[in-house]
Amino acid sequence: MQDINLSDKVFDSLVEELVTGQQPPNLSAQILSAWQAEQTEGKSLAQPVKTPANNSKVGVWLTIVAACFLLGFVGWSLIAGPGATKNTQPMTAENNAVNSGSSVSTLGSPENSNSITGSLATVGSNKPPNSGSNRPDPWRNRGQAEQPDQRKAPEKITAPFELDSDLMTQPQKPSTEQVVSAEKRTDAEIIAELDRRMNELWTSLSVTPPASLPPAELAQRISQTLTGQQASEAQIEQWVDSKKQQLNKAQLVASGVDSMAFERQWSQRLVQHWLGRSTKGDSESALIESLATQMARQSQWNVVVFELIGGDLLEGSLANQFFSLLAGGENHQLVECIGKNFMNQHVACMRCHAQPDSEGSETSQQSAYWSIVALLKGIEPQGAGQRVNDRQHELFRAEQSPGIYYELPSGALKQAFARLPEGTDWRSKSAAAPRQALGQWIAESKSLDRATVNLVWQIMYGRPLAPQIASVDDVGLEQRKATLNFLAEQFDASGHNLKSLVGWIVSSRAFASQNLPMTRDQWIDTSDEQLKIRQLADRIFATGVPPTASPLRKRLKDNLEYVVQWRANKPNALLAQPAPLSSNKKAVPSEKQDALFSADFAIHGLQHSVTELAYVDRILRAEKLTWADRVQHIVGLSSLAPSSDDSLQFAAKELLQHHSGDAKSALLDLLWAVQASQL
Amino acid sequence: MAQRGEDTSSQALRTLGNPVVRDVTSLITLHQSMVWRYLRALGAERELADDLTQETFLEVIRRPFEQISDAATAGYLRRVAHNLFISRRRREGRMVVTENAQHMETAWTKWAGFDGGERALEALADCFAQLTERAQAALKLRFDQNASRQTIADALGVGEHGAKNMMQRAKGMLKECVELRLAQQEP
Repeated sequence: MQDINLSDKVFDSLVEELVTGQQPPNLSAQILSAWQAEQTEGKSLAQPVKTPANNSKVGVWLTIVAACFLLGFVGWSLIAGPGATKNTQPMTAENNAVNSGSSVSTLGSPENSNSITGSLATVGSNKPPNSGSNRPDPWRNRGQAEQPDQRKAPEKITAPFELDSDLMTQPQKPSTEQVVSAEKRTDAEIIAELDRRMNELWTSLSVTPPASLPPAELAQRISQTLTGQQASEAQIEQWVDSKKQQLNKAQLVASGVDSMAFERQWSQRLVQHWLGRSTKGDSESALIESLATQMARQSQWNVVVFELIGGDLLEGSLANQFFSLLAGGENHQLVECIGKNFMNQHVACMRCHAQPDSEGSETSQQSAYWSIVALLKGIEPQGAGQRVNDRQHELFRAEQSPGIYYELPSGALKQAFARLPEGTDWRSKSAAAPRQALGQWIAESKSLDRATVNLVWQIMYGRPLAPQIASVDDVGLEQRKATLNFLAEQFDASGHNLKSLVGWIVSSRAFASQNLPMTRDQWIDTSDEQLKIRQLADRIFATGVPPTASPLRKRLKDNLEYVVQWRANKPNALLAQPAPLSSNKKAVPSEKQDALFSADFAIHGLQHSVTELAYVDRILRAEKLTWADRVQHIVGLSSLAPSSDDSLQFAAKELLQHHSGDAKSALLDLLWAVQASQL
Repeated sequence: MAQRGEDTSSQALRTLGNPVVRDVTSLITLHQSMVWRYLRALGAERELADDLTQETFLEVIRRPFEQISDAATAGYLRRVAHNLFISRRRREGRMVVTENAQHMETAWTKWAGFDGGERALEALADCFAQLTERAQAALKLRFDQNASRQTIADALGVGEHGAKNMMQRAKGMLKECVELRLAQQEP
C-alpha cells in the first residue's frame, strides 16, 4: 500500500512539473559557489583516502578546482601548481616516510583522514599541526565565524570512588604536560616516546620486562592483533628478513591496519566492548558492518562517535543501530556504555550513590549521571528492538525541558534536567535535540580521546592503560595516566585516526614483550615473591599482550567457578593468580592436582592490596546498595557492561555462602576473579 | 568492493580506498535535475528543493566516492537527498511521506527510471495532449492552481464527485499511457 502511494506521489510530482512548467532550476553556479565558500572557511576539503595511484588525481583535481574558484574561475591550467597540491599529497609509504622520518610510515594521519559528515567532519583535518588543544567547533553553523570556546567552569564535584576522569571536574583545563606535549609528532616519535614512558614505569618499579619476541613470532602476534587472522608462512617471510633476523614492522603494521580484515575485526571488538556481550545477532552484525565501513573511509573517530550518539536515527544509520542495541528502560545501559567508552567515565558508580560534597548538601555526581539520562530522554526502542523511536523533538519542543526524578542517598527525590556534563544546558550547543548536543560535547571533549586510548589498550591488553576507577588499580598510576594523556593528545593531533592509534601501540616495545616464559610446573613451584613480581609485571604491561584464549565474560565466569570450587574445598586458603594458559592440562603432575584443585591457581601468600580492601569497604558502607548492586559494581570494574547476569550473581551468592555470610570476603574473592580475568 | 546484497547506491557509497570524482561540474550538471525532482516528489517545496539539492551535492563533494556508474551515483545522490530531507522535516517537527529510502527508490525508478525523469516527462507531455480538454483543465486547476475539488467542480460544471472521478480517470489514463510508452522505449 505504501509503495502504491509513493508511486502516485512520484507520478503526481511529474504531472505537476509538466502542468506548471516549473522545471528544475540550474543550481550549478550556486552549488559551486557554496563549495568555494566552504573551502575559504576551511570547513572541509575532500581528500584522497588511501594510496592507490588514482587517488592522487582525485585530491589534486579537487584542490585545483577549489583554487580555480577561489581565483575567480580562472583557467585551471594556469593555476595548478605545487602549492595547489600541497594539502592533497597522497599518503604513500614513501612520501610519508620522507615527511615524518617514521618507521611506521603508512599509519593514518590527519592528511589522509576523510570527512564523513560534511560540516561536522572538520575536526583535525585542516588544523595546523600543533593545534591539538585548540580544536575548532565543527558543529557551528556554516558561515559563522569561529567563536572562542566559552564553556563555563564546571561544578565542583566530589568523587565517592576516586573516579579517574576529569569529566566532571575540569574538562577545559588540561594539565601542564598536556599543553606541552600537544604538538603533533611523527609516528616514529610517538612510538619512541611510548617506549620511553613504559620503560620509565618499569624501571621505577624495578621490573625488567622479558625480552622481545623473535621476529617471526612478533609478526604473528601483530598480524593476529590487527586482523584476527594467523599470518601464513609466506607472509611472515615477506615481513621478516631471515638473514638479519629483522622484522619490517612498518610494512607489517601498515598493511595490517589498511586491510579489510582489520576494519572488520576491530569493529567487532569495539562493538563487543560497547555491548559487553556476544555480537552474533543480526543487529550487532549490522552495526559492525557500518562501523567497518566508516573505518574503511578513514572517518575521524570523533565524527564516528558523534554519528553514533548524535547522528540521524534513520533506519540503517549508525545511531539507529547503536541505540537499538542499548536503548530501553531509562537508558541506563546506554548511559553506562557511553560513559565508559566515550567519556572515560565509569558512570555506573554515580547512578545510585554518591557522597555529599564538601558543603555536605549536593550530590552532584548523581545529578551529572541523571542529567545524561535526561539528555537521552525520549530515545526509545520500537517494536522488537530493531528500530529506535526518537521523541526528543516532541519532548524538548520550544523551551520545554522535561526533568527526571532520582533518589538521593537520603531518600529524598531530586529532579535532573538535560544538562551537558560540564553543567550547561543542552541548548548551549547548536543542536536540534539533547542527544545531538551530548554527541557534540563528547566528540569535542578530550575525555573521548582518553576513552579511546583506554578502549584500544583494553582490547589488546585486557585492561585499560589507566583505570577509570583508580581505587583498585593504582600501581604506577601517575605514570600510566601521563602516558594515557600523551597518547590521547597525539590521537587528537593525528585527526582522531583510530588506525594510527592502534598502529602506535602494536609497534611499541611493550607490545613486543614475551609473555613470561614460565611452564605450569614452574608456576606451581614458584615462590610468593616470584608471583608478586609476576603480578606486578602483568599490572604494568611489562609481559606483552595476554593470549586471548576466551572472551572476557567466559574468563570471568570460569574464574568465578574456580573460586567457588576453591572455597568449597579450601575455605581458609588465600587465592593466587591464575596459572598460565595451557591447552594441555594433563601435563600438570598428578601429585599437584590435589593441592591446586584443577591446577589453575597457585597457593601463595599474596594479600589484597590496601586500595582493594578500601574499595570493598566503601562498597559495603554504601547502605543503599543491595547485595546484587554490590556484585554488579565489582563486575562493572571489568570491561563488561555491568548488566545483570544471573550466572554471575548466582556464583557470587555461592561465594557468600561459602564465606558464611561474610560479605567482605566474598566481595574480595569476586574482585579477585574480576581482576584475574583481565590479566 | 561491492558486497553481496548491496543495492547500487550502497555500492557507490562504499569508497574503500579508491575514491574517484571525475568532475564536480559535470556531476552537478548531470544529476541536479534528478535530485531536485526527487526532492519535489518527496514533498519538498520548491525553495526547499533548491536548498537541499545544493546541500546534497555539497555533502557528496565533501567526501570523494568511487564512480561505479551514473545510475549508481544517481542512487547515491538520492539516498543523501532523502536523508537530508528527513532530517530537515524532523527538525521542523513535520511528517514525511516515507522514511524508507528503498520504498521511495522503487517508486522513483518506476516512473523516473535512471535518467532523472526526462523520458517520463516527454512521454507524459505526449500523453497529456491526448486527454480531453476538460480533463486537462481539471488537472491544470488541480496542479497549477492548487484549486480545491469544489472549485474544479464549479469550473467544469460538474458535482464534486464528478470532478474527483474525472481527475482519477484522467490520471489513470495518463499512467497507462506513460507506462506503455516507457515500455516501448526499453531496449
